[in-house]
Amino acid sequence: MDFSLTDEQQMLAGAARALSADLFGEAVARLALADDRAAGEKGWAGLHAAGLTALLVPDEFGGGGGSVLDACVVLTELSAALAPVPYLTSAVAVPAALLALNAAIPGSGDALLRRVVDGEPLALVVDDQLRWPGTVGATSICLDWVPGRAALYVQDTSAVLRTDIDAVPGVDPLHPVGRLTGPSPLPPAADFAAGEAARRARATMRVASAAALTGCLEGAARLAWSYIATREQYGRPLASFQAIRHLAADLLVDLETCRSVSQGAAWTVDNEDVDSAERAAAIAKAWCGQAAVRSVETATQLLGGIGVTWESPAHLFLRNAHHFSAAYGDTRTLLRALGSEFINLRGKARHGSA
Amino acid sequence: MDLRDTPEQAQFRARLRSWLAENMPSEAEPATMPARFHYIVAWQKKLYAGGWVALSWPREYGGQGLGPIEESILNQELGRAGAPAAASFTFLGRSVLTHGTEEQKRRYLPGFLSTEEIWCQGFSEPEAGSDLASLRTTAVLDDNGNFVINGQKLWTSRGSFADFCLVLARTGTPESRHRGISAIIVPMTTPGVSRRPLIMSNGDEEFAEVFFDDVVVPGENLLGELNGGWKVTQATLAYERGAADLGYLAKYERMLAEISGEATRRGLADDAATTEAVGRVLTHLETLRLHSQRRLSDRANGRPVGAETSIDKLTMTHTEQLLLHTALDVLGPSAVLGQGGWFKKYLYSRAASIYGGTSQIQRNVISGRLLGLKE
Repeated sequence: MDFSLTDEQQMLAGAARALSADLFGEAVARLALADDRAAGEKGWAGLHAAGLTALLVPDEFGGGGGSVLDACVVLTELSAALAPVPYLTSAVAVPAALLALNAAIPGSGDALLRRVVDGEPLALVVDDQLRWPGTVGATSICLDWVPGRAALYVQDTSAVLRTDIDAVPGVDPLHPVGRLTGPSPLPPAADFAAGEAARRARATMRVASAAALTGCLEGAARLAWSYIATREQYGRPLASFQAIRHLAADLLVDLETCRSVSQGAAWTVDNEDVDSAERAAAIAKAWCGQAAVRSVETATQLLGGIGVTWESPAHLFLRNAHHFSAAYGDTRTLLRALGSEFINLRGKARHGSA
Repeated sequence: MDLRDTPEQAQFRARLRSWLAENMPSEAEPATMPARFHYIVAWQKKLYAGGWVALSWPREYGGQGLGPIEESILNQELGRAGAPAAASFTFLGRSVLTHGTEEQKRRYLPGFLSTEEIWCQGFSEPEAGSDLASLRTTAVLDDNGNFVINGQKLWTSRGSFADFCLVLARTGTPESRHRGISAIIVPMTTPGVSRRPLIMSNGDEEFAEVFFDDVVVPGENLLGELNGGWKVTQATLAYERGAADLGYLAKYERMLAEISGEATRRGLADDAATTEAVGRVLTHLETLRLHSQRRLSDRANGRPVGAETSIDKLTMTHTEQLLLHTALDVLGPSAVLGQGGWFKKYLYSRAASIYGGTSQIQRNVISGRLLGLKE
């Protein structure tokens, strides 16, 4: 048993961190908030040039042939830097969905996988509960959609690119959403949705969300930690007050446990059977969703008056934390499904023997 | 990263599984002290005889010369088999292992690990709880080179049963705080040692008050350096706080399964509030499991155990308290009626945020030593 990241993964994290410092950060996020997408697009081009946007696409298509854990390592760094790029959708969820389609009908995802390799950012169609592959008849929301971008739609068991999309309001300016305007005559096939390939793809999306939430938490925590170390009241730094120090400590507890669960679950999705992968990913996403929302709220509190203003990036982290918590299976739904599964498996046995 | 067993670890696990199949205790763990204590000691002796105790400790002192990973496999398999957890107090021996002389290690560790000799920890005092460095028990070197110890210890786990006590006493000036404390091994049969059980809120005799009245022990019972006791405590406490060292995960999972059984009996298996609450506890357990694995792996890769265990302790505390809260929620009003088995466990869970350093002390450690925030 070895939990440590490989040297390559540590280099990948370092490279993603350095690149994020160059390409993203608060100023770029603010432009996205003002609906100015140019800097974000330039950042995406930079990620593509560094070979990071097709990390999950297999070598045979010219992709990076990397693992889910590799992509998660990058995603954590991007989220910490408030990068307004569709990495979770276009570099993780879309390739994962296309690979699942390929497993159902060989070759059906090939053409689009090549477009991913070419660096084209794609949105993903989910249902109105933000689930993928989505319930029959309810499929409509396009995650990470901006005007001019196409969205991957699973029609029956084939990959279709949709462009009949209108913008709809959403809370997270870093990850804008759209909605399909035209009909969807053949929603995702039920047997495809329940099949192993699609379940594994969904687990990939969830565990990547957990990694993104970990990054979001980290970015907000760093902001708060540096603020309380320098901001003075009553003639001394805020960090010298125990009430403040304890809140600051709580942020590290959440951050470190998020790291453990998101990385461990990513490895599980890469290496274990689909039941274990699905369970680990759901747990990681539920944990990181709760921790990120809780800790970004705490960070906002530590930032005091400035934290509740438009000019502080605190609300960007908070918006991001809620967006990622809601997409690909919201916290409450995941918890209920996990609890129900555990009770049926372990509680019924206990009940029988009692 | 590879969370699977190596071939050697898989072999170890298989050997352990078959041993457990043969050697599981036939009787259930008693609900009350001191019966429970004797049951745990008997189980610990059986484990020791089987070669399953102190897996990561050197062989010459009664260990098995394996690694921290094997320790976690032991905890996992005990949980899987529904066996009682391994005794949770082995962390105390770490201080002897780390700071003892060769002679002390050979004298004390085998008996400690086999539980032929029970140890307790004489740290806290009536006026020195969280502020351990203010302790007042004194140890004075007399003309014969013996320590003469006077004072009182409180909240001493296993104090009623122990054969030895690792006593922290002031050997420096009254104002010397952590620079004037020494760790001294005191046989509990020494004249002048007296003890009084301290009943916990759940009715258990887990703790004791221990009194030292002109207790004379030889100078060679000093552990570590004179006035170097603080370093000894830090090593002990770091291990006490680590989630991986305590076989708690298995115990928690068993309790969650029991709670799920209660929920099923009460027709709550499909109740949304119940499934959500059980799911929430489950995410805590699995997160704690993965987090412990990460810590173990760090340790196996040579990283020393330190302040980061305060994070583990807080997470463990939160998990345990949420677990027992959930139990009461599932039981509903019936939780306050009858024998109150779950309520007793609930009362015990309230101690989780106190022992081994309160949750507030853990946050002090995290903000000061891990985040480096200046006071």
